[in-house]
Amino acid sequence: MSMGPGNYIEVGRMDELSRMDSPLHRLDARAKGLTTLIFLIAVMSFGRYEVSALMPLFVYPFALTAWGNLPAGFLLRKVALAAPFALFVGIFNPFLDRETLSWIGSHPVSGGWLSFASILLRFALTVSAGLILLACTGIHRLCAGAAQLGLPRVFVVQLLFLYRYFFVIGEEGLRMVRSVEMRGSRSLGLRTYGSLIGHLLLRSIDRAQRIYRAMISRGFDGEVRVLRADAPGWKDAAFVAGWSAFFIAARVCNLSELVGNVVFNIL
Amino acid sequence: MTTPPSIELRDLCFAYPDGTRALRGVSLSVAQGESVAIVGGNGAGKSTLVQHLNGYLMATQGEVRVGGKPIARETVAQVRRAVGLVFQDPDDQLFMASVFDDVAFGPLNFGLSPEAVEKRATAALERVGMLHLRERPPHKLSAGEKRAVAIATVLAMSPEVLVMDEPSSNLDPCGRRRLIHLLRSFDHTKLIVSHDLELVVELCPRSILLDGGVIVADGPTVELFSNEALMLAHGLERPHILRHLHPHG
Ligand SMILES: Nc1ncnc2c1ncn2[C@@H]1O[C@H](COP(=O)(O)OP(=O)(O)OP(=O)(O)O)[C@@H](O)[C@H]1O
Ligand SMILES: [Mg+2]
Repeated sequence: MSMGPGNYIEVGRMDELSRMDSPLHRLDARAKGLTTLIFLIAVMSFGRYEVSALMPLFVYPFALTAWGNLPAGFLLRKVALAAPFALFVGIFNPFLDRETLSWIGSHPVSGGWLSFASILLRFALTVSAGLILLACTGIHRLCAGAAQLGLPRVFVVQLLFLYRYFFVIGEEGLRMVRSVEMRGSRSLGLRTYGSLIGHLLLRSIDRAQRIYRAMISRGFDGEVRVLRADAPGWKDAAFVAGWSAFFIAARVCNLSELVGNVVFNIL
Repeated sequence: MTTPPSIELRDLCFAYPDGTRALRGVSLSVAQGESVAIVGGNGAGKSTLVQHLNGYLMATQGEVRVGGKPIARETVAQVRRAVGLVFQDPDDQLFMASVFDDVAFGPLNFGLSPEAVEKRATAALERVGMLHLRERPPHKLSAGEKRAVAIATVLAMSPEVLVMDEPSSNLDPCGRRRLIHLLRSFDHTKLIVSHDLELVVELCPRSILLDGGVIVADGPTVELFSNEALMLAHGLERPHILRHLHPHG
């Protein structure tokens, strides 16, 4: 691996991961998609001040990462890359909501801090689950699966292109960073920066259009086709059922409190 | 009944959205099975011209006919299946996660069975000598490898007309030789845009010289290329290979 700006974005790495082979990769795209969806709903349905009850759900991303042989460091970096967004959403809560709702030892903890922590946790859970789904399935299988489940074709194609264009923009940005670096510029003035961004946008639109045309000229008609269609079996059903049961259990009773009590009682 | 020309352009004009007039009235006709080169300096309009042949660009004025039918909204899907276009920039052509998936994309969209798709993609990769790269992500290949894979994506669709924009750029001598053999073995209609005049001499008996969006010469390759004054006037030069043919020319 070369040490370039490429290492920050790691363009195309998700695609590569999706082409590995593991029991998790081999599962039906629909089974994984459905399980992820149920997971997201479960995470989102917790109360806004919930913190400890969310903890057991981390079992899911960790178990899948291990089972799918996925690089945990890479995925964590990706989650961290998107973290500023969650920080931005939650950062004002501690200032707005100062009512004490809980105690850590003798320290009062306000509702604002609790909801802030809750937002961060939920964010980490959902983003990592989404990334894992993508990394162990690949966008094309995922889109084909979504279409099989009855998602309208327009949405499936939107999803596919959104993903492609995301990488196109990343790649174009990378090329520009390189050429700027090569011409020896260290810091960019505001004007240069502005023109770079404008340029990046134009270039990305241009290239996205060319890729779209390349797909069209190879017979793409809006239907996402994959070489080996998934055939669901009992493993897929067990995957969905097993995890769903776990999510529901975690949602209904606070598993960390339960475990804590059991351990406490034994001691 | 005579067969219609494979490709026919009538007074084709094209201006880009920014107003650049890249083609200013091009008329030409290529017969079934003919092998024709389009040559000319940078910015002559060669790439613009070939992009009209599968409806990638639509004429501002004039007409494009493929297999006797004008390209229109209703026929464009059919035309795209018939005309295989290899772009000048292979990065525009490769968009899947692996070389194999990329080559299989076209046949898959034609609704072939998985076995048939697999067979076609493998055969196409074999023909360009890139089968060993089948699992690699296309964006991590060298420029010449990308070029060869881009050619394979088009071969896998078994087109009736092959249009290539600078097929030999970035290829090493061995890859270039393989390309020449491959193109020679392809006995359908071929249209080749190239600055590689020696390759043109080997493959295309007829050449069309383009400059400033108009055709300035159209005739037998050897005759055209031996006309030193003409070649120099349009940003080209007489290829070395012809010096042996006409030592006193
Ligand atoms: N997307 C575009 N928008 C505006 N003008 C363009 C665009 N692409 C090409 N042109 C212009 O159209 C003219 C013909 O370009 P074209 O790409 O067809 O040349 P070419 O003969 O293929 O050159 P080369 O040998 O360098 O590939 C040039 O003057 C070019 O600047
Ligand atoms: Mg060109």
